[in-house]
Amino acid sequence: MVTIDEILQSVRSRIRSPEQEVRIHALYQRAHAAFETDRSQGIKQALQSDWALLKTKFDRAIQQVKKETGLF
Amino acid sequence: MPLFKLTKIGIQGFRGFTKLQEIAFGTPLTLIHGGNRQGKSSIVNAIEWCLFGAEVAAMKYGDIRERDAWEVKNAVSPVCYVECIFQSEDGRIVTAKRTYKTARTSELSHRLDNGPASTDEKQLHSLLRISAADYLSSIHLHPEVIRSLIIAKPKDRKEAIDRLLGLSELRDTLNAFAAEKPAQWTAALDQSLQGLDVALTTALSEKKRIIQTESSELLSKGILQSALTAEGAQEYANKILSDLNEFASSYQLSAPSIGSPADLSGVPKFVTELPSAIHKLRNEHPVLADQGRFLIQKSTLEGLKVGYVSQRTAASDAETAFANYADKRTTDQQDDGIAAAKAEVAKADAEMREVSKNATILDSTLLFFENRMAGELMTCPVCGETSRTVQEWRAHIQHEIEDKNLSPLKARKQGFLNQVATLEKQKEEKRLLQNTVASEKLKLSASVAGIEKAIGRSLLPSDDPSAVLNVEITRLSDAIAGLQQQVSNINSSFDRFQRAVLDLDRFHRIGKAQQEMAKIEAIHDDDGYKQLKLIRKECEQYADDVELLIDGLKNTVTAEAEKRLAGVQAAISSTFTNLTNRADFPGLKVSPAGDGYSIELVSASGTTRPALPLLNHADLNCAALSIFLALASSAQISHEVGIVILDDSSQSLDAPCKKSLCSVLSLLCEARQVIVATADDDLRDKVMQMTKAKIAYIVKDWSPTGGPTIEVDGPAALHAF
Repeated sequence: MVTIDEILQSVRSRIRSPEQEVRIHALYQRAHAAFETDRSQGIKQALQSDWALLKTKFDRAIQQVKKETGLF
Repeated sequence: MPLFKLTKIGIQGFRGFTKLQEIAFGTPLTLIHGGNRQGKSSIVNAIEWCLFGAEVAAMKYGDIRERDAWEVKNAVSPVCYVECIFQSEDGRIVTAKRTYKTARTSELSHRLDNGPASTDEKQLHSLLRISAADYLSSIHLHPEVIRSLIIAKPKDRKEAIDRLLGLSELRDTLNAFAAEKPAQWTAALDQSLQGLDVALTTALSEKKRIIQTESSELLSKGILQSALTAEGAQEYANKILSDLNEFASSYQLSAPSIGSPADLSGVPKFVTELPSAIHKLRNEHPVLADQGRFLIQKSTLEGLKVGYVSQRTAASDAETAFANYADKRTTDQQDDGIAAAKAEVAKADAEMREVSKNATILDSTLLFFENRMAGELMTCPVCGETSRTVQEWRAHIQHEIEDKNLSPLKARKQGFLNQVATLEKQKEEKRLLQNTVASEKLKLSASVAGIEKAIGRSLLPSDDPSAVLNVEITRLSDAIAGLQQQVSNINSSFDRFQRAVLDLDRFHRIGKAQQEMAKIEAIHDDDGYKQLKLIRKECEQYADDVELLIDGLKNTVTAEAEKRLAGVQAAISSTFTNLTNRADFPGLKVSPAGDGYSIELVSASGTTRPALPLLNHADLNCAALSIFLALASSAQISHEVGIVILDDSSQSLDAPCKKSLCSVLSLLCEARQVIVATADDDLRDKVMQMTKAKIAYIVKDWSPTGGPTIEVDGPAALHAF
């Protein structure tokens, strides 16, 4: 099986920072583990779960801003 | 590299196998021949299940689902296990046994030589240096791969080649990532942010409009622009309260019990309380109280006057009606008249009773005649008169009773009864008129008493209450008129305070709008907004990471495919040449292209043409075999399993092709242990004719309870292992 390092190597020039590389590493490990658990839906669910968390954070932040303006 | 070969397999309870069956494998060649659904594929599938368990059982490829809902365990057998014994060229022996637990779980036990048993799956795979993907790309060519390559769907063809190249897992991973749309995720966030900005801009416009509208009202009243602030609102509130206190003091009224607002936020409460305070002052103001009292008194007297005049008219009318009544007699006279008429009635009654006595006799006579024959001549039993028939006597007596005696008396009596009724009616009418006169006079007295109470003194008989009221009403009107100017001034002050309340509300709206505008304009510097931006960036980073990973996976899949194909490209083409024996396009070239692969035929002169329009099913099958066999026999392989398994690989192949396949397999036997499972009698015959040492089995007579029967096929001399 191809490793994440090999995958990242092919886009090395586009990686902006070591932090991004670490993040992508972690992302791939999570996705791969999810794939091992459920080959048809695992990655989809893992990504959507990640995104749902971020989206919730974003939505809360936007609600907070709205609340602070006192307009909404 | 010393490769492992399979020497023996023991199967019990796996798929179609009910009882334990042990099969020895030849080197370099084993042929497993049998009809469809007899268990030959189960034998070769048992090898991969033993090595990889549920990992391969769960694999699916395109629309072809060979292992979808695989029933691993046979329902008849109490146990399910597969045991494989591998031996390497340098004498090492690996024994692996997998026992079924559940549909998704199994237990592996393996050992090297006489070493300790281990249940570590990874250890076995390390020992053989093989993964499931390697196994499926270069050990076991499943019929589903060949079918996927042959059918026309590009997606399935791509997946089949991926699988031959051992890239299925990587491709599945890529597809799962690529199915997500990170750009759309962040676009949705931007839409939310845009919505927020629009809302803020709209709010700013609304605040500006409020300030403009309210300012123009206040400026038109001479209030300076510079005063139109939150502080100005507070000062204005203080000014109102101060004026109100001064006003209260000037009339010796108690000062309003409200405090001035500490800041703009206190203004709404002040604005709410002010009207009540103004109302209280208005209620308590002595001049307004006097005016109110006078107005009430005047209104009361006017009401009394109207009532008195009306009552006086009613009393007068009653007296006139009584005076004008036609019957001028006194009550006694009326009673005498009634008594005389009643005496006449009594007299008539007495006479009627006398007649009735005679009538009794006549009734008896009538009864007498009624008991006789109607036409009979009879003598009257009372008067003795004769010569009448009974019928005539009856009419005669009836006439005597009714018409001659009683009827006049009845008429006279009725006349007197009528006279009594008329007299009594007149008496009652007169009594009622008298009562009305008395009642109206009483009401008039009550009206006068009300007037006396209202003016606070008794009226003399000579006083005209109406005139007295006129004097009092005039006095009150004068008093009210005397207060008018003061009242007007006071009301004007109160109105001014009321307007000031409205203006203060405008001040408040301006100040509040200014504060909100400042808050909106400063929102971008707010910590919450900065936090939002940070999270937005985090989201973008995540989306970028996913995009980058997708691109990396794409690049890697392509690079891996290129790499794997490059290493075996010559072997693919050579095997294809051997299998198809095409003169026009002897060579085959498979290269990655976009998300899939291009399959090209290579002519003798080296020119290439897209292969698919030129390949028939048999050629495509050969292409699959070429790629697989090239990979299987490649010197670049990293694993140590020296086996190649072909399951039902002769689909669509004609006899010359099968012969070529056997030639290729002969070459392959030089480097690998080859296991061929087939239902094809022709291929079986051709394999049997191969000069390589082999063992052949026939798998047949499968039954649900007994499983397959496995027998050695062909002359024993063939089995040279």
